[in-house]
Amino acid sequence: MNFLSIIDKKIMFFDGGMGTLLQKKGLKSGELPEKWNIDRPDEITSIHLDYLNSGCNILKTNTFGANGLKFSDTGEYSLEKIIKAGIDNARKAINLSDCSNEHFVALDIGPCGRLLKPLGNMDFDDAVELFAKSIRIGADYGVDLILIETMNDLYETKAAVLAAKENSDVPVFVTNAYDTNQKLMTGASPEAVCACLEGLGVDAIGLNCSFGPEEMKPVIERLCKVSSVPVIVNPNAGLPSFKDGVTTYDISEEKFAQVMGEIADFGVHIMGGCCGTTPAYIKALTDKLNGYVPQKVTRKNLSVISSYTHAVEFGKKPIIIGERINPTGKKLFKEALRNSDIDYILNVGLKQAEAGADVLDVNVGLPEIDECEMMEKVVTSLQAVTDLPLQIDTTSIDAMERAMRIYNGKPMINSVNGKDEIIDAIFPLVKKYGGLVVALTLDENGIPETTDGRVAVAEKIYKKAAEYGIEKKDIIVDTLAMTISTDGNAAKNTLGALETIAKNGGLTSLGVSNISFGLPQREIINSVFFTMALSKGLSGAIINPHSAEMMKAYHGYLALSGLDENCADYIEFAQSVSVSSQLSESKLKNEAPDDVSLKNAIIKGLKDSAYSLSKKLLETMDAIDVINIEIVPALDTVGKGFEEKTVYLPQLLISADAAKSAFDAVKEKISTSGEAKTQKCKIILATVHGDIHDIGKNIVKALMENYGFDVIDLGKDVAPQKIVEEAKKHNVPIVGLSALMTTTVPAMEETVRLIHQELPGTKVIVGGAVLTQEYADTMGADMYAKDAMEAVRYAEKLN
Amino acid sequence: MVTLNFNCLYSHSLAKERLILRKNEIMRYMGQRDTEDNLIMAQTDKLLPVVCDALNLKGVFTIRKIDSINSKALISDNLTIKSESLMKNLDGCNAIIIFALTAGAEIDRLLSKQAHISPLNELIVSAIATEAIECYADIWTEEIRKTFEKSNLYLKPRFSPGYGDFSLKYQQDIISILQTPSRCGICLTDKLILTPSKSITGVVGITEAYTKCIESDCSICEKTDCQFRKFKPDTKQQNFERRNRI
Repeated sequence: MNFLSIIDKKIMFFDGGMGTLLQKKGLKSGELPEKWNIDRPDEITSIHLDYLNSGCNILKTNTFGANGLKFSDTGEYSLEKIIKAGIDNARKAINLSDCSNEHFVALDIGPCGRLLKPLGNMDFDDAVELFAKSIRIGADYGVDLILIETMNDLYETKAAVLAAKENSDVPVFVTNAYDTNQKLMTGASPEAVCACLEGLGVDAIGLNCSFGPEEMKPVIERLCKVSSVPVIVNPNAGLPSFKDGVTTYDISEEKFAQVMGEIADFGVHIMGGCCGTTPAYIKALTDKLNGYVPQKVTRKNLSVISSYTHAVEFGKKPIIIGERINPTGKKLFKEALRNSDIDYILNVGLKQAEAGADVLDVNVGLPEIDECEMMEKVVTSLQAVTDLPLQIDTTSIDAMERAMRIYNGKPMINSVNGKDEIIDAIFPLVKKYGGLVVALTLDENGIPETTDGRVAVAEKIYKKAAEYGIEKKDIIVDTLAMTISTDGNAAKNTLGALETIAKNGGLTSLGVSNISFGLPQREIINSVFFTMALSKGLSGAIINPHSAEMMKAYHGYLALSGLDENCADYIEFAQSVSVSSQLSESKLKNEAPDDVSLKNAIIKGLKDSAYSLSKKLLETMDAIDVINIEIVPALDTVGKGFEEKTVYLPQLLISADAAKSAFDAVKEKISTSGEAKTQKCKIILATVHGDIHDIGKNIVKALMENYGFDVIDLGKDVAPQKIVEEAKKHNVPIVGLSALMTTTVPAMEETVRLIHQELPGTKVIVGGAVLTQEYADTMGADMYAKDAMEAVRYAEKLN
Repeated sequence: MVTLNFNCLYSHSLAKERLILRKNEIMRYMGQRDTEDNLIMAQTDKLLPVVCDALNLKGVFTIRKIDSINSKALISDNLTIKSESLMKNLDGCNAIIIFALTAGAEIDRLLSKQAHISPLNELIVSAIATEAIECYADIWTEEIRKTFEKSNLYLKPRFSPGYGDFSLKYQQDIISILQTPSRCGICLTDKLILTPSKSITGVVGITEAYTKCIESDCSICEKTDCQFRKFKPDTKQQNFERRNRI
């Protein structure tokens, strides 16, 4: 079967909404519709037949909710029996049908009903396996294609697609459910969805459910503009709405068909229906579009990457790739990696996003750490806090594959080069997971010194990519900036190759700052070189977005080269430059008057003043004295106020913020002076297994850190065994556990028991909204802290 | 006239511009009482538009006939609910509305992001989002209430699983009946936690007997030392547990 060859000649039609008809036939609400595959197969077959007789080509099996969470492996209604019966019922209908159309059976896969991490508590790998189980059964019983539908989360969609690709050879179609804001519930735009799914090799993409065809038009238009694969549209017959107490359906059969006719002109190739679309709707649709010749499916040739929210396109406006998540030459960053201090790394990412980066490069390679594990942790954590697409930067193939697999979107890959060994390792991953690949112009013979030599390596990489089915649009060539301090022609060669590749329609990128290695005042050289490269057609620059000179060059270039309409971005940038310098002056005047002490600044929650006052004090005082004479007494005053109920939680936290910035100044001093750190004992904090609320734990963490405890934050939904392992590993005397729901208190109890059993000397503090002293006593906890201050006081006593 | 079309699933959404968020409530969710703190107010003002930008208010509801009801349980078609506190609330009702509403998943991403910036920001964002979902629930209830009152049908206050002896396990029935994962994105974890976190599920009784529907009353809750308790009338529990409110 070759869908594409049919699709270019005529529209293919899906059937309509199975659920609607089952309800009419007596399916009770809340009842599992898939059970009818076994209990009432004739009813299901008859519905399929009705749809076939109304002109559809593709039947969706009645398996929308057939997954391992709802059906077990064995028994009367085992997953296998349910899916097999679903396929049999559809096949039977096709055999009974006397229509002459081409007919296909699509294994219908709906959302699993759980939200994936970080928004929910299901692991990505578990989701892949869950879908794989259903898909393997479908593939074994010979479905013609797999339809993954009604997905409102891009990450879950990716899990289902990977499961389909890894467990079957049939075409994979995907339709997502969009909101009226033209995004998926978890934030993905149509362009982001398209980039990710095309990268994964999906055969047709589109949308279904949510609303009627008219409301779908804006999303369909956007999808058709960017999609290089056929577009599918399966709308509702309009959802029933409760207007003035009367149930109304938005759209009649005729109107449905009319609007679908208009939609076909957008360049859609596969159409059908979802909720409420009975065979009458499908009949009206197929009658309306009978003989309609759709537009040809065209390659859009867009060079895009995406995050879980949006796509970033290369080749139009130069893209800024933030370079700061990289340990090279950064002492504090290396220390953060060694200590698994993810917060530090996330802050580096967040600050670059704020400074104007479009993409974040992620390099976490250090010889002494497990790079694969760290890469997964950092990519996952970054994607929980920033919506910028990521560039996976590693020489470890394992770390690369792991990151590409769990990445939510289509990543940028750093990098491949002209070496066969690297090409053969990286390109299969790109083909499987999708990605825009940085191609370094070096090979087995090193870095060619000439322009032509580098262009030749690029050409070789393009050719090899094509052999793997990777298009030129997904390769971005880095012509390698080498320092001019050792070779006066270095910049010329780099830019020459860059210009040639850009003129030949290729994308280019550079790690810009290498150009000035070994020279003083590097920003001068960097920013001029950056401007030169931009004018030669640079598509993506790996730079430090905090560098004012680089960002000035960038915004100036955009304005001068007609890439900034009405100079709007430039004007905004220019204002931010002048405002921030004015602001910093006035801040100094307003917030750090001579009569405010550091202690008072912390009590009042003046974050900026706390930092500058701390810094000032450190010029004349030892770090330890600043902590003991100013910071800790301030925290004690606020803490006491909180205990006496004259200070409330937000005020406690605002002081904690101020204390933290005072500590930042202390940490900076210590890192440069080498002064010994004075730290209290280690404490592990975690939200217990099954619980995904962590605000309480985060508050305790902030206060504990301010009081000088070395906090190891294990996050939320942490298994008891993991907590014990970490407690053993770090030899911690205190573990703090948080639970916010009654349903997760048993997990807390189990954790307390396990800690006491395996680490008898370790004290356990418990807290959380549903806990009481009584609960805490029952589970044998050493301390029940009703708020964060109580936890701190107890830890202080033990320390 | 209201036509009670039983078991039909109705989708609902609300333009966020229609929300009127109450600052005093936001402060209460944060645990800030009595006093105003200018710095905290300023930070709240700064974060308000950020939270509003992330809101995506939508939900699903259905109307079901009560086949039989006594002081301990009700039966509605294939659904049986056992809960004395709920039955007390539903006294005199012959139908119920089952509903699920959410402020959307992007709020949870925003919470994660703000948690890394500062726990104060996380607390503020959480409080604003709680006020948003509560406010959405109030507007939805009001819309429905007005519609029903035209036909001399009256609504009881919203009642959610977790409240009184109305077990959290009934969330499984609600999620399944309303098909929320695909209809509005609300899912349930194996520990019966709703995701997105700012979501509310519950039951509203419909009665022919005139009743004044009073939301926001905590008097029934036994946790009298709750820092979020309303002074008068009182309300219970932490923000995300407030789905339990009557």
